Amino acid sequence: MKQNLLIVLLVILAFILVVLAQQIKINLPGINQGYAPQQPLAFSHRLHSGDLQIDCMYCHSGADKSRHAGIPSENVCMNCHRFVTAGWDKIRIEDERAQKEKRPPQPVVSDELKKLYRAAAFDETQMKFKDKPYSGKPIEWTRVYNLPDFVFFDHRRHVNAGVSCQKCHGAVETMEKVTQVPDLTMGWCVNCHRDVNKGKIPELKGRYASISCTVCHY
Amino acid sequence: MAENKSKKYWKGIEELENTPEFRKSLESEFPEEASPEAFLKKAEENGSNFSRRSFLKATGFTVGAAILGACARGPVEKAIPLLNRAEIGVPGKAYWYGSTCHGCVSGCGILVKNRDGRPIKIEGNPRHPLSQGGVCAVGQATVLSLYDSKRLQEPLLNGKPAEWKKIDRAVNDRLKRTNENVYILTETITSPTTRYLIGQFLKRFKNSRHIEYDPVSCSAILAAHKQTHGLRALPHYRFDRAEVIVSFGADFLGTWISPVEFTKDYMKNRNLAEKPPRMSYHVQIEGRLSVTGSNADNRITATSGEFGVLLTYIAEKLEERAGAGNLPLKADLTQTRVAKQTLDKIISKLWSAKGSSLIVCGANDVRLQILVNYINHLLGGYGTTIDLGRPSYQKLGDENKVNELIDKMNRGEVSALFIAGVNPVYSLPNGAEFKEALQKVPFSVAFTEYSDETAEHASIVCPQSHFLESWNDSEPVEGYLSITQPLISRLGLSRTLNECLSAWTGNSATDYALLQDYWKRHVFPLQKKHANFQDLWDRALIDGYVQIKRPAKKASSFNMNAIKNLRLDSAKPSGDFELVLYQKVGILDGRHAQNPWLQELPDPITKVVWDNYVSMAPQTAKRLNLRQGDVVRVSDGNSEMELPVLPQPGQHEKVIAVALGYGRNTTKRFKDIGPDWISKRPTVKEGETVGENAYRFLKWQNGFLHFSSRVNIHPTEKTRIIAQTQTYNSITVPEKLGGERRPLIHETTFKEYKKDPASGNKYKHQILQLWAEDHVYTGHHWAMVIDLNKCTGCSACVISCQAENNVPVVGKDEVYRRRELHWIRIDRYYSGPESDVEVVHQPVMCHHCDHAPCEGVCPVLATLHSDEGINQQIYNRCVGTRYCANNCPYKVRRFNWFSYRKKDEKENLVLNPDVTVRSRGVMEKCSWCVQRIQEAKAEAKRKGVKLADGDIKLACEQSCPADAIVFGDMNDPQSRISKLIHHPRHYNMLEEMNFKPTVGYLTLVRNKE
Repeated sequence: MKQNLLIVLLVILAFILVVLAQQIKINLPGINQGYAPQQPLAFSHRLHSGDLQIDCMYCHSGADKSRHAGIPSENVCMNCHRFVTAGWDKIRIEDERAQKEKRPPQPVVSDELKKLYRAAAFDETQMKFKDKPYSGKPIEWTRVYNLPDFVFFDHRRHVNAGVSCQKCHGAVETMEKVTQVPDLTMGWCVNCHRDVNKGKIPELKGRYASISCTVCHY
Repeated sequence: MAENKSKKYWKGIEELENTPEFRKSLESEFPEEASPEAFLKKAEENGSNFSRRSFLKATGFTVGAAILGACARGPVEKAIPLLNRAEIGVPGKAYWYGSTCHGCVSGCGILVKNRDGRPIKIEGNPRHPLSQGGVCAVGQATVLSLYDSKRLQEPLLNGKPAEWKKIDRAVNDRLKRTNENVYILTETITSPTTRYLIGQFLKRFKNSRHIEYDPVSCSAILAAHKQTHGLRALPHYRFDRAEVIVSFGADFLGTWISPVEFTKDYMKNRNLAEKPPRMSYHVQIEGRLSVTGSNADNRITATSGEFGVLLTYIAEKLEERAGAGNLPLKADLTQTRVAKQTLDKIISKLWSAKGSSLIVCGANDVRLQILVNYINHLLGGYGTTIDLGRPSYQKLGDENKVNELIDKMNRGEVSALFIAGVNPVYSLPNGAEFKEALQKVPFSVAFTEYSDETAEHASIVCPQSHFLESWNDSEPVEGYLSITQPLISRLGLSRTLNECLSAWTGNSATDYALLQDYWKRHVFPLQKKHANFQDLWDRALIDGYVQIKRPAKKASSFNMNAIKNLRLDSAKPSGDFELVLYQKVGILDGRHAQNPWLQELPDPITKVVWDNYVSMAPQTAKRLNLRQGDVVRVSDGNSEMELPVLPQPGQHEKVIAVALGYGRNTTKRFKDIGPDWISKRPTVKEGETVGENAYRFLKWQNGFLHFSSRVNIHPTEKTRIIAQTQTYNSITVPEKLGGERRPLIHETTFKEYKKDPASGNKYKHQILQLWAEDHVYTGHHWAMVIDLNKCTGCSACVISCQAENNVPVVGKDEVYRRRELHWIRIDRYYSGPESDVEVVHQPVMCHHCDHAPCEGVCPVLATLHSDEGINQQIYNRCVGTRYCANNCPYKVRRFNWFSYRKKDEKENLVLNPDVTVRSRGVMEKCSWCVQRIQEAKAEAKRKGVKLADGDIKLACEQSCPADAIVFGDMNDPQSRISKLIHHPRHYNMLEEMNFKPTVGYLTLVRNKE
């Protein structure tokens, strides 16, 4: 009887352990897969590139020209947010309320965008730039995809070869908060390069991806 | 084969004499390997109580800490975008701006690489008509000075920091009370804008003067032309038109007037690729061995005291041929050792190349220069090889005016003195006199980048902006106006001279406004190409220069009275030795002494770093029983200095030579250079300077400063270590391994070459392959060829590589321990007897062997071959066994014994973000600037074009003023490199070993009998 109970308990324990092991992913030192830091401004990729369908390269315009895709400078944000000061839902609520109360609608500015306006030295009540535009402090984003200093990744080469952004960065257009999807190990890089050379990746058929060290290390 | 084997090349006297020390040094790659016991013993001696037990404890703790540390999350990195990116372009991309170098007065055109808003690399501007794409070591190194955190950050008023407003008020108040006797003392001003502003500034005052003074002066050339052609001007020497060149001590490929331009031009007439091949004939007559002398076809040693006789003899004989008879002098050839036949041969060469021959003289003696002018006149040089109609403005100084100024200062006739860009307290032989006189001047202002010897005594010190922070222009040679544009906003509260002058003239403006204003009014009318000013301005910014036409200078025809009245003194000189004071390629007149890159640049001839020394002929040293490093006292009766001896083959036995530019106050900072460890010996001791100031030995003679004087030397008991890079990294085979001599240098004569282009290069091996070729390069296969005939040894490539590849400075002690980290070295070989050597310069970097011996021995695969033939070094894999360096036959691998990086945040801004900063325990070596290869390939792919030959220029190749280095793809049959590889002159070093190096050389061809 007692033995049976012990066996049952052990089976349950093993089951729990298996479930746990599946749930928890233990990263080796130096690997930050799944890293999703809190950003200073709650920017939503889901909204911008998912719902609004803004092209990745509109903001990360360096991706096809330079080594770095680049974090957009505030003036790129201001192209739209000079006019768009809050989410559409919030503005609608204010509009409806104003109609009900029979008064002109008040300007609505979201708290997150106020951070942007501070950096851009933009007066959201007047809807125009202050004397010295862009004289605030730039927003300090936390880097999600971070390679060691001895690795030189070049966005330009991949984008121009036709590698989609999602191939490495995952479905960013669905992410509220950006998460590091791949493990960014050298094996992950090299396997893809090998697959290209074997013709396993349809959109890159006929291309050659070198696996020499100096492709990344110099 | 025979001629190569019989000729013996040697790197230093120890190799020639095959001393036991030298034999020992060949045996191990890494000398004085300290055992842990020795290390601990040494530590104990130093008072450290560090037992074996403590060592184990420390080791255990370190390993534990490292493991714990590795468990932590990666560091959180911030990504901070620009607020408004419009101005700076795409982050991560380099942008190049045309500008002008102000490292010296030569005014070479440069392109400055700006990456993310900061300049990180200086390269030659290929469009510039004077420097033609070359840039020297000094120019390359100026980018480091920009980020020097010891540059003056703010103005000083009576030694205390003050605001500019206060300074302006102080100066303006003072100038209001003065209306006469205001003096400005500067180096040669090549900028027309600055010259104009100085004129505007001085206009208000009666009896005021602008005095130009060059520490290393050419004033005798200017004065001689005043006498012979009625025009005080420095002619523009056209080496590109000279077929026969005779230089009397002028180091025109190294330091004289405009070495980059002269090297480019000189090489045009030594072009073996042309059909039929052409080669100029170059005779160098000098006492010490200079860079130029090392490249001469015929080098004759003579003291500068003999120059007069030699020049007189040449003039005399040429007069005979020309049928003239104006020379009142008779040459007494008994006063010289040079044989009559040698001179006659030179004279007939000169005469047969009439109209395309050139004589230059480096001595600052007006009588000699008049003779030189006369000879050039007889040879029809004026109008062909010498351009006096469009003269050079690179050296206009007149040092005699400084002496007059000192007198005036002493008499109280100077009410205000402004000193810019010169340091007379340091660089005048009577600097102490100047210092005393300066204290009598009621008001003095110094413009300087560093607090120097002169500025210390000025009432106001104005920090000058670096040229990479300012707008300016430069007209080094008449008609070629170069622009200087800033690449970064000012790093300190500095101002340019132009801005200060305008602020004190009453119409304060920025340097940009001042420059544009001057160009609008005074430059725009001097050209016809551009119809409106904006076009001209835009063109200048794109090209880096514009061409203008000024009203022609009126040089009269040769005035024979100058010759008729010429007298040379033949008084027997006193003193045992002639002291020759010269400039080194890196340090020049001392203006860049605070630049560690230049201090650690091996001298092209002696290969010494971090010091000046007394070089003397080996036979003289032997006679005086002096060995290398023995300190001697040099004295001329007034001044004394103590310096170590360096035996220098090829030097005249009556000549000793000491470099100028050392002993600067600003070099006291180098006590901290190099790694901090127990056996460390500081580069300089507390309060000491690097080297000794030799300016004290310049001699005043008739108002000219002479670079040679008579001295005596006395041995002392002291010795001093000289750190030299020549003796190690020797490829000579140690005796226990057979000691055979391998032909590393292939050379021939021009005569033989014309008969058979493969002459001198018969040492070919038939190499049999046992296996089929296992590495097939289907894409690119990179290769490099270095033309030994072109390399002058100027070392521009060394600094270029250092700037591009983040090569750290290690300090004198570490160099002495064979630990310098330069990726490219220039091997300098002597051949022939000690007294009359021939010199070869051979740049050596990683040979990227297709059968690389280093690759097979690496236990962790940290060095292996790429699919494009590059021998890759992977720092993050390297564990530092150093097997690869041991196995490298070319001795090009460098090991990071320490972490040499400084924590100076400002200085670290100079680092190239595209190259890894190596840490301790890692091997490194030339990567063929693989970051440039990748960049060029990425750009070609992006544009959808094929990579063209010449798209990739390596750092060493780009800066080379002689175009000696060519890099390219040998799989492309049309590329320059493919053609060179199949040229009969091409050979590989140690070809017989079958390493299959992809760096090759072209044989050296000397224009000799």
